[in-house]
Amino acid sequence: MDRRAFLRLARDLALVAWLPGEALATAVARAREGPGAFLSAAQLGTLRALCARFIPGPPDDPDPGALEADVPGYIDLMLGMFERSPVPLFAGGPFSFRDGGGKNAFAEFLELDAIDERVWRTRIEGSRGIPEREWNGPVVGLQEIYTTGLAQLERTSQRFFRRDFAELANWQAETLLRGATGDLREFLGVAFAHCAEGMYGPPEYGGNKNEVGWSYTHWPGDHQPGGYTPEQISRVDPDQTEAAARASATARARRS
Amino acid sequence: MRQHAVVIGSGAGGATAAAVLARAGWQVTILEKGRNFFRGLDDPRGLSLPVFGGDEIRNHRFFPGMDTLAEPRTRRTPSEAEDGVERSFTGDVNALPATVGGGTTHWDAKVPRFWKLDFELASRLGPIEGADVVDWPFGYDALSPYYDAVERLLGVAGDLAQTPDFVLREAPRGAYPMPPGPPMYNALLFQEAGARLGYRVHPFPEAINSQPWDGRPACHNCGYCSGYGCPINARGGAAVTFLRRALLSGARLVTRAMVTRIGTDARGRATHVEVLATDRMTPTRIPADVVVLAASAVESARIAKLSAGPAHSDGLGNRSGRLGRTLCFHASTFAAGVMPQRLHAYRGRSSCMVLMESCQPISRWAGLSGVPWLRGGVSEIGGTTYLIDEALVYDGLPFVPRSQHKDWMRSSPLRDRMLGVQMLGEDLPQLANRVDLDPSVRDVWGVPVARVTYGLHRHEKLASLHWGLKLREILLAAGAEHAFFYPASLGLVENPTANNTRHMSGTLRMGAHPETSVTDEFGRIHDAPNVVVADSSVFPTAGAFNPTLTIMSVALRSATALAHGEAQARRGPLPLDPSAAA
Repeated sequence: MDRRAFLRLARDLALVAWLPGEALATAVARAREGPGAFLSAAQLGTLRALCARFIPGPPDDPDPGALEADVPGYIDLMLGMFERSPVPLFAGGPFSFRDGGGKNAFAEFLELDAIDERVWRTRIEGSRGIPEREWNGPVVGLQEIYTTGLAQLERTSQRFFRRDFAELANWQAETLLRGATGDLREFLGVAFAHCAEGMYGPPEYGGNKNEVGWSYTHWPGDHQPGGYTPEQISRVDPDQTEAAARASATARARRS
Repeated sequence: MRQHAVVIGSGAGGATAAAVLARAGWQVTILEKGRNFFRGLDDPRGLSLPVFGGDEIRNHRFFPGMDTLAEPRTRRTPSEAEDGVERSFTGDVNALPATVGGGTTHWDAKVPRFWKLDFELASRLGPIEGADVVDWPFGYDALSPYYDAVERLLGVAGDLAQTPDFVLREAPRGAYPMPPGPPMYNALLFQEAGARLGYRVHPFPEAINSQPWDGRPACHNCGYCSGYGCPINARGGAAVTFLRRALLSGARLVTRAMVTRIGTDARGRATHVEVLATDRMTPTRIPADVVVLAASAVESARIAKLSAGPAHSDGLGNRSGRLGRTLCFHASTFAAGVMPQRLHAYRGRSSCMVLMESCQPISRWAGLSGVPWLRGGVSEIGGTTYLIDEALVYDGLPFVPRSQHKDWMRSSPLRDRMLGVQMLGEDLPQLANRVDLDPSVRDVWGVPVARVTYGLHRHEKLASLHWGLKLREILLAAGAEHAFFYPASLGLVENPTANNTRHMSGTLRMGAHPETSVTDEFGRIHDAPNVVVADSSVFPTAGAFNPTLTIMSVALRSATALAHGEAQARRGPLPLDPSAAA
């Protein structure tokens, strides 16, 4: 039985909780240390462990995961975007020429105008009592949401298991993440959404390194300016022909 | 001296009206609150490539608007309103792109015509209790020459031979300007299954070039269509088709110009427009002989409400009390089948085929429900989920734990193996469904935001159930392992974006009588006739089809009346291009 099949079986039998957690802790520890664009080294460590739980990579999963894609780097760069010039908020366009060709316009971030900057500083940094940022009252920024959320995650981990979040066994981490309530649960939702962006978005934003998020999902990414041929658009892909035949059989069976 | 028109909004309606007025020699200023991500719109040598591209993160960061932090809307249901609830949600309420080109920077350019029935709903089908069903002040035949003209300008691909007779009886027409592009695999599966069950699924008319048109190239089917600006200008639209013509005829475009008010004189006529320029907090006044209001059905109503003054105490042109009322969104029914094979719906034009049987009225539920007739709407076949969206869809499903995330992404039941259909159903006008100003929520400019009070009529709920079941049958016939549908009523509970669509209409309806409508048949506000409303606000009923072709055609008609008189407008449009005129 191959590993992926075993993982499926294990999951179906709810055995996955009993797998050892050391592999993940080692992977997290192996990743680079030191502060990021916004987060401290310790906060980044917790974020790495969280991203690895959301989208695991080898050896827990056969395909590359959030650490291999550097999703924590994506999130940290988002939180620290105003430390960079140009601000990496909106990539340029129209083409990255990832399918071969010219200069990558995605890598040249767009200039922000005064309104973009005011709105996004408010979203990232919070309103901080600055009147121009409080058109609807105070705003808690993403920076504070992350520092508070990561701290709460560590506190919860310590309280229940007396270990750092990165060092929890699989069943412990699963229990903590599934059982979270209130603010922590809300933070996990925010973090998962950003994790998905960093895993599956264009690599120019700092995540999806080596396009690992696109390879295991069979996603072509921005396929421009090449596009597709009429044949690629209108016909089933050759490796899917068998499944297509099964579909017709199902349909025929339903008809009769 | 030349007449000066100030056009509010650079989307489908505003750009079309601006092109007519500028071509007729008017001085035209177009105000757009968003930024411009096109390049070379005013370059006589030709368009350059725009900034738009296949970047999903940018979309998640509200590019190109509306940003829900900067420009939220609020929402509540009519029953919450009766209970005195000020709002139950703040954020994205049916937001449309706020940028040069408006909604046509996110559309996948599906451009069916409305049917004769859409203009004659009251006289042909009769009233429905609790809804304000009316006829339009003109019929299909009056709009037909405008449809022809807009289709030629946009460059519409379609196939007359495959169009069913029941469609051609309701929307008679000649040949399309160009043939359809290559059909998508998923749509072919649905078409074949539909045919076995007696449905005439056919190519969806679309303003997407299957061959070079109007100086723009043929589509390369990159797949980033619905929700994305076209990276190669192969898709026609407000900016590349109409705004470009307006600018080449001398119109001026001002971006990041937020209109806060239309000023009026003692007689009620518009005299000027008040505008906040980029991040400045004191408005400047731009004098105007005529104001063209085309900011979308929600935003135009908001501006009219903000423009209350001595002659318009309850909002601009609100003698009838109908300003902002009878707001309609299309009622969305989403049906999906999970196929055994991968369908690669990410290649192509998001949707390329359509089922229109669901636009025909039915009466079979009449006895049971007390609703004498039901009407669904246009059913769009195909569409894909993008990758980040797919991850978030699974995360929102209660039966998918995060620990199974990668398994779901690998097998991809709701993206690569999903055969999807979305029906955009007729939404009956109800007086309680309305736009007004939120009492305390503001936008980044400090201006009160639009508050949407909205609920579905029983008609929409029943039509959604009826057609949801039918669409599911077709998906199963196509070989789906599982098939389900998500009715409009559930969509409304789950998603505060009322009805899950971005189609909107009806807040400044056209009509013959100032007591029951806000504008006349040429979009002029009854009590402020030098304000012409040129977006879907004027639609008396929502129609059962994608609105943009009709928005452009009605705007072209209203602008023709403004520039060349009503007699000309009743005959048809004048050519917009110098070469065509000569």
